[in-house]
Amino acid sequence: MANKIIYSNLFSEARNNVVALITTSNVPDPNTATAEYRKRIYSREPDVKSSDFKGYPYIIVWPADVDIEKEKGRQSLDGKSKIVYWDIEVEIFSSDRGYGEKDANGLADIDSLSDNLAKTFQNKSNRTTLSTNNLHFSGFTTTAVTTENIANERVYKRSFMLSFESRMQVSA
Amino acid sequence: MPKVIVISSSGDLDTCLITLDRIKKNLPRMTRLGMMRFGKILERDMKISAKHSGIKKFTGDHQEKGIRYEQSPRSDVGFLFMKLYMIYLDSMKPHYVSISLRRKRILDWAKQAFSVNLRMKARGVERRKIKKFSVFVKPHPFIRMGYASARPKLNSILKNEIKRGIKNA
Repeated sequence: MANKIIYSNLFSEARNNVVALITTSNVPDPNTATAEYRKRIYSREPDVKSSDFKGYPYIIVWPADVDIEKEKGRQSLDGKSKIVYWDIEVEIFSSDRGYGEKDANGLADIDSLSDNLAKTFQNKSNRTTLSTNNLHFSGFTTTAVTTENIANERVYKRSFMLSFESRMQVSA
Repeated sequence: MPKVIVISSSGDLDTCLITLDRIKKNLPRMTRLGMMRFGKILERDMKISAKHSGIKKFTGDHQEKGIRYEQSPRSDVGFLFMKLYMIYLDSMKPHYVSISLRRKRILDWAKQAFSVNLRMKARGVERRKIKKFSVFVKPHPFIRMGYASARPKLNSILKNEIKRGIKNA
């Protein structure tokens, strides 16, 4: 459950708000049934050690990057309100070679997850929810798909660069 | 890539010129901010790429300060620093390395290697049962992969920062 962002939770709640939207109903798992649970959202790179890692596809929501406007003339008279920018990177990884398990599904999986993520972050009611929690002007840009080898698996990767801004109170 | 910025006002040329001046002032600062943000992502992706290519943590401090991005707040140039051994690990030619009692660090590595045979030989060297032995080492290319992973994000980051710079002008 995500809360409203105030001056005391600038970093934590920004990320929580994004994670709260990536639910199984908004972004269904292409490989696992809804009733089945598996961890798929990480805050850092998971420790992939075995060549039959079962965790693909997974999503990394990196910690929020916060930038508070420093320029003079852009703050309130009492200096308590300023423009705050957030950048949150969401990366999607899917495997294309699973040793007999759903081989050659990498592109299909990453595209399915990307479609659903884009749909979720473009959705008007989701944007209103984010705005209510002080994450205004939500927008994202995406990168092209790149491939890399992780523990002998060919992995597809795409990034969503989410950005938000708000003019809010940054001091008590 | 050239971009066209259209500035419109309610017929007042002075306001347009003032806004244009502000944009000119803001753009270099926002570009620098964008570069710094990209630099941090490049550093992170390079470290992840090194990990994926099989470079173990105990080979050095590449997961800490061994790979780092630095840029002065007033400079248009940023640098990705990397310890020299990382460059060698990335692009060395496959070759044999001799392991003897005099080469402490590589002997320590051999003592905790994955291969049982290698570990036994290393202990043999330590107990002076054998004088030396050699292992065949191969490169762990990671720099190109790390760069390829980070580079597509540069456009998005710069676009976001410049948009903010123009919006607040």
